Amino acid sequence: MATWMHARSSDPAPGSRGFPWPVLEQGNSSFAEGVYSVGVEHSRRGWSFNLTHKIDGADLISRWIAERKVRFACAVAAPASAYRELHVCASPAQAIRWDPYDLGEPPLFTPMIVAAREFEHAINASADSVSPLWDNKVVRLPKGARVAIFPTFGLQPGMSGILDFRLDEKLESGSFRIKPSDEDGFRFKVDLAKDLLDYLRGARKNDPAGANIMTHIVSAAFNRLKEEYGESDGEEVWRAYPNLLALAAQLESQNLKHWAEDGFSAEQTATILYPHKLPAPEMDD
Amino acid sequence: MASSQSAQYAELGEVEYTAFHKKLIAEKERGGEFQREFLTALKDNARFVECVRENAPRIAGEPAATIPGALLTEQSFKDPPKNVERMIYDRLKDIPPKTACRISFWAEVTLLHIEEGAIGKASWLAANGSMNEEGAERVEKALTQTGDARAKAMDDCVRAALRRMSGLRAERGSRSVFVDAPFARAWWRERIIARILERGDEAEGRAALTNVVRINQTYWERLIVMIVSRGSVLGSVNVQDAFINSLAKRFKEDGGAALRSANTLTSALRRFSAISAARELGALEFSEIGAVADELLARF
Repeated sequence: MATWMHARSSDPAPGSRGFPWPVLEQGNSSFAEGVYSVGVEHSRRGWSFNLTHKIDGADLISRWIAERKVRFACAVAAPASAYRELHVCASPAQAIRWDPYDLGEPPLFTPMIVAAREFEHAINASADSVSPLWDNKVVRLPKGARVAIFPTFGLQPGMSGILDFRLDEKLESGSFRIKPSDEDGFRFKVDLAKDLLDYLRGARKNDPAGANIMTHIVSAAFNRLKEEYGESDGEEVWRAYPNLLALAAQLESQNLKHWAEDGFSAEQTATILYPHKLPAPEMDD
Repeated sequence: MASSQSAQYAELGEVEYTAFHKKLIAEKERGGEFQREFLTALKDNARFVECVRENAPRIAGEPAATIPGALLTEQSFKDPPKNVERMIYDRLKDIPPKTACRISFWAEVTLLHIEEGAIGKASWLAANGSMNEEGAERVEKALTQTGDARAKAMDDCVRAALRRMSGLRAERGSRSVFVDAPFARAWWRERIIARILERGDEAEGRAALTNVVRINQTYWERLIVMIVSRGSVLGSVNVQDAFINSLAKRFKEDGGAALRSANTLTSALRRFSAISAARELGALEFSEIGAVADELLARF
C-alpha cells in the first residue's frame, strides 16, 4: 500500500524562483489550484521503492502527460559520496532502485516531471488552468525543462527529522504539545510556547537544557507511537508510513525495539537516542 | 563501475575517529597536552600508529591494497604525481564510493602505508601544503615554540596532519576527504577520469581529462564543492562527466587560458547553475549535456 505525500502550489516555499514557463511547485502561483502528489510504496529491501506521480488542478501538465510531451523522473542523491542519478520513466508509476554501495549517506529523493523533448506551447490561461499572468504567452520548453517539482525528501529521517516545531502563542510559558500527523509520510507537529521555541532555536549544540527539552519531546513522541500502534492485532498499519518504517529500521540498526514490539520503553529509547545532558560540575576554588 | 558485490574493508571506528578529531581540534586543546602527545607521536611511526589506534580502534575487514614503499617521497606523498595517483586508484578501484567518502577508511589506509613503510615518516602528514618546510621540522618547531605563537603553531600542525591523513570533516565538511587527503583525492580524481573514459569516443583523452582535475588544488576544490554540496549543480554523474569533459575539450582546443582560473570556473559554474535550475540536465543524453556545457564555456 502506497503512502501519499502532497505538495500544493499554495503551500509556502522557502524561496521563490522565476521560470520561463509555468511550473507546478510549492509557492509558485502559476497553477493556483495545482497539487503534485507522490505515492511511496516501500520494498522490504532498503534500496528500492515504487513511486507513483499524480497531478491535480494543473490541466496543462495533465495534457502534456497525455500527449507524452513530458516524462516522470526522480533524482536519487547522496552528495556525500558525489552521487546523483535521475530515473526517468514514461509511466507515472516507476521503480526507483539504487546500489547501497554507491551511497555515503541515506539517499534524498526529488520527484519531478520534465520535458521529454523540446516543444512550444501557446498558453490559454483558462483552458490550461494557469495564472492569467501567462495568458497568450508562447513558451518554449527545452528538453529536460522542469514543469513540476516535488520537494526533496528522505526515507531515513530519524526522530528529529520528523518533528515539525511550530509556535502556539496560546500555550503557557515553558509548555509544549505534540500531535501525530499522517501527512508527508508521518510527522509530529510539536506546538511550543514562544519562550520554549525561541530557546530551542537559539540553543547551542551542547546546551544541556536544550538537549533535555529534546529528550522530553522525543520521549513524548515515542509514547504516542506506542499508544497508537503498540497493539497491532496482527495488522501493523504504521508500516504504511515511510518515515515510521525508516525510524523502525533506525532503531533496529541500534538494537533497540520499536513501538509495536514487546518490551518497548518510550522513555528508555528516547534517553538512549537523546541522553540527558548534565550541567558541568561547578569547580571549587 | 558496478560496486554492489563489494567486501567490507577495514577502517577505523567512525564514531571514535570523529570524536578523536573533535577532541584534537577543540578550542580548549589548542597548544594543550593532548595536541602535544599527538604531535610527539608523529615523530615516531610506531608510536603514531599506536596513538591513533588507541583512540579509534580498527574495525575488522579486508585490508586495502597499498602502494610500494619505494615510490613515495615526502613531496610525492603530499602531492602525488599523475602516475602515482593512477597507481593508487588502480590498486583501490574496487573500493565502493560508500567507503571511499569516509575519513575513517582513508585514515586506515594511511596507517597501513605508515606500517608498511610506504609513508617513510609519519611526520610527512604535518608538512606545510604550500611551503617546502618538512613535516618533521614543522612538528619540532611547533613543539619547541614559546610564547603566544605556540598554541597556534601546534594547532596548525595537528590540523594539517589530520587533513592529510584522512580529511578533516569536523573543520572542512564533506569536501575535505575529496580535497585534503592525498590518497582519497587521487582515488576520486582517477575515478572521475576512468568513468568518463568508459564513454569511449565521446570522451576526451586521459591526458586532457587529467589536465582538468590537476590544474591546481583550488580548482579541484571548486569542482568538488559543486559536486558534493546539497542541491549542487554538478550533482548528476552524467552532468559532472559532461562538464569536466567539455573543460578538457576546451583546454585541448585553444588552451582555455581564462578558464584555467578558479575564479572564472566559479563564474562558469554559477551560469551553469542558472541553466540547471529550470532544466534538469540529468534528463539529457551525455552528448546533449556536453553541447550545453560547450556553449556556456565558449563565452569565457
